[in-house]
Amino acid sequence: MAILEADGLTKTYGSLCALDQVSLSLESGRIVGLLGPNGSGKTTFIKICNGLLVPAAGELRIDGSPVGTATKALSAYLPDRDFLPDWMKASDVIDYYSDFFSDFDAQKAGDMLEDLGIKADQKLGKMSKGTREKLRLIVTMARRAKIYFLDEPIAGVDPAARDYILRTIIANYNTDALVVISTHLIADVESVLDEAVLLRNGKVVLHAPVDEVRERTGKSLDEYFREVFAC
Amino acid sequence: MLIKLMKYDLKYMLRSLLPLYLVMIVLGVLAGAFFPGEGAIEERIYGSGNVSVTAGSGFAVIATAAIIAVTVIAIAVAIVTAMSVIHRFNRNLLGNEGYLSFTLPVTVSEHFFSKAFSSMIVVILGYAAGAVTFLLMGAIYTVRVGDAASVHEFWRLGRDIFSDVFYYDGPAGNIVLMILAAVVSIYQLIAQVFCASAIGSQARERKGFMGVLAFIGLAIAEAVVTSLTGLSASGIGMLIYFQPDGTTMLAGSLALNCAFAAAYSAGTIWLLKNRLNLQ
Repeated sequence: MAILEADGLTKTYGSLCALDQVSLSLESGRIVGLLGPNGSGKTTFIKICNGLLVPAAGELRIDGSPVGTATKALSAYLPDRDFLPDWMKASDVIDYYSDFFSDFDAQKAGDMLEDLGIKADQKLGKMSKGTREKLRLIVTMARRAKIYFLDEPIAGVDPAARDYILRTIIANYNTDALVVISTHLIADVESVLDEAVLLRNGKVVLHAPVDEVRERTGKSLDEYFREVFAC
Repeated sequence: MLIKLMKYDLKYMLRSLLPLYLVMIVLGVLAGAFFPGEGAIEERIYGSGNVSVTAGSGFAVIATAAIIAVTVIAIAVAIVTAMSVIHRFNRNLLGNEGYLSFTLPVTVSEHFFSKAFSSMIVVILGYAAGAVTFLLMGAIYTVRVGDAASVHEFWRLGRDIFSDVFYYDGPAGNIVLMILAAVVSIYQLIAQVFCASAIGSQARERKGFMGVLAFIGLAIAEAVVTSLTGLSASGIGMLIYFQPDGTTMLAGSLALNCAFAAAYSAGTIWLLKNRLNLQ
């Protein structure tokens, strides 16, 4: 059974249609790339999946339930912005996640902090931007979630950091889970993807296994994307 | 989950308020310890017949400075409390932290009530810290001076501040109504601020300014509804200016306050559920 099912999902902002009748079915145990240029609806879709937006029309079910407290308990979300409170210390953030998420592995998070040389008693407000990004990634991937939503996890970081982030994701996610990675940097993530969903102007233009796209088109996913979205 | 949310809300707000409470109390102790007055201890220090020296001595300067400082800190406590309440709601729910808060497995109602109840606790703690400061000041002064006239004068000042409570001789049940009205008033004001913030967040720009305008608009609407009912919606006003024969008036005002509080709460929760506008 699909763990994420969207049926006719539509979201408008005034006259702008951010998502237009999006229907998707995604299975567990897959790493899915949610790909598209800026403004194609990727973040809007992920926000709806995490209860941050209410769709204008359509239905979304996660693990058979509509979006609510039950689905939030089994979804891990890494937004594309700095969301952790800067008045907390790293250890406070781990305690916070432990308090609210029963699937959070505090030991694993602590080990990852140590591996990266992040001091548990350091305040987030005093950390560098890169360290804060790593902490956000750690607390997200330390969850044994059923779905991981990673919104632009490698945007705005250098190539070495991108490799590190992708390695951390692959090494730490729950392999029975669905991982949805939203990005426009396809060349960097292509090697880890099982499936690709291409969005353009709020519509799904492609949903297929990555291998199938390569076989059918004779191109890499990145080359195919550039062809589809050529300006 | 509500208790867990409140734990973090209180942790955020009290980290700046607890030091202020402590400073205020210490200054109150200083004021009580050095406030001039004729009494046994001064007589032992300066000799019998020379206690009037204390009025112009360094003791009086310290006491005066301490009382001024207590007053300043008390005002600071009020300002920091208001800022903490507003800042916590805006930042944790309507700012970037909202991306974490609203993805927790808790309901929107739990988020709202956590902020509201935690805010009420810090407001009441502020009042309590002020009361403790005054009581300590008076108790230390009483023990130190031991002079009946000076002590009587000090406590008379305190009774005058809370005269309607100390001199009230009406039905005891009205005291309960007054306290309830005061608590509901605090909650209502907090809910009104949150509702205004939620309304202001709907704007594309200048959300803070729009929030202020929304607060003014809600206050005007409240005043209009209140005038139509002929009741006073100020529970705290009723507490201070309570007329012994106004039980019905107080009960009516309490009901009106509850209605406003419920409306602000429901409105805020609806906006957060259906019109969340995180950037």
